[in-house]
Amino acid sequence: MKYSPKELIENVNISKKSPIKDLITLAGGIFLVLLLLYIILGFLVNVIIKKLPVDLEQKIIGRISFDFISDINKKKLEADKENYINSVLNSLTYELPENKRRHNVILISDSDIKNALALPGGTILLYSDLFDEFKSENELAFVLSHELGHYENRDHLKALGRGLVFVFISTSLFGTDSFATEFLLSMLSKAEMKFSQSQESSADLFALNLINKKYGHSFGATEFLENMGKDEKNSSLSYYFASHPFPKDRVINIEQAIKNRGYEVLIATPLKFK
Amino acid sequence: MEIAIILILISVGYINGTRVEKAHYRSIEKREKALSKLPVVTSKNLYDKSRKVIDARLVTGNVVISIDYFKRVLAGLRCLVGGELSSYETLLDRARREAVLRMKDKSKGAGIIVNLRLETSSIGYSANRKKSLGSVEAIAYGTALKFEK
Repeated sequence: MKYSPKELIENVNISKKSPIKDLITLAGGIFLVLLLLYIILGFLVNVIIKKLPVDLEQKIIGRISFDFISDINKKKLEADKENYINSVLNSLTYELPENKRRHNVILISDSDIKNALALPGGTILLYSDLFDEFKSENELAFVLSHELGHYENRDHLKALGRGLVFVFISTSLFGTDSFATEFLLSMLSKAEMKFSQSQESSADLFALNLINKKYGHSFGATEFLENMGKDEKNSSLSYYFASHPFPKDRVINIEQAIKNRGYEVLIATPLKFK
Repeated sequence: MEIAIILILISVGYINGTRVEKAHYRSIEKREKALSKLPVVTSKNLYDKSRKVIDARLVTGNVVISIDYFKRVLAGLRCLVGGELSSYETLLDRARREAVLRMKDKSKGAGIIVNLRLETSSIGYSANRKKSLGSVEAIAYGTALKFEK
């Protein structure tokens, strides 16, 4: 038998596919599937949240630790002020039927920040520089009621729900230790809960309703927003607007509601610690 | 920021990887042509029994080749949906052919290499991790027979 070497012309062991085309097709396809999943889960989350009982909500929230709270600077000198604010809050929550949530306000000071934040779990953060802007107790009540409105509408769960969907997808694809999952978890806990315009409007209307219940009239709602709107050019105030929509629109919305509901706007209740 | 880094790595991986691969294939084809006169068979007995064997020795050739980041990403995505993992095909093809060529290189003067065996394994730090292999080692070994002239 004679051996005659044969030159290999074609390589049958490798496929002729273009790798870049392959990558684009795969990446694009997987991205579309994830997008679809996200949209579907988003709908599901909204449906579930409406039916979620309050005590279960508190349980879930309690499990998620928020690094935010450990970063807070508390000024012990203002304990009296904080107690006063909490007493106003309690008088407001007293008006709410069957409210199983425990709320409290923490007064904090942090270099020029004028803001109020509703943290999941029921704690409201009030920056003392914002408190200094109030001209009456009614305005304080309005801001607190606005945050209470967010709790009533379950806005936190909705925002969390969307974030949780991302975390769930990333965990199942890449594992709990991957950088993708950790990045999303850190985003979840540090999220300033930026609510949508419609959620903010609903919270405003809820607040209007609540202060009307407590005081018998709705003084304080538009006054607060107009006051904030005047100093628009002030850069520290723009921080407030970063997490809340434009005040003029909110004022118009509230004035319309006052008209529709037939509320009165009477005299202010003076603010303590002014 | 992390996305930008990943995209840069993928591009660098693709550009350099393709360049290196093409160069390697050119070298493989050139050497295969040069060494084509030396037959290699997997059978133990497929040689001319009428000729006297004066030397028989073990010859081996091995090579370790790594993949680039682009291939790694493509393989990762493919592992999610299943199907042909084309990005690794060239890797293994090159590794096996290179190993055989290196084995042939060590067998100068031999008339035939019988009982060829090819083995591949994954090595490197990623060998134990769940993620796909980072580099592959191929080893080719056989018995080189020298005939009496």
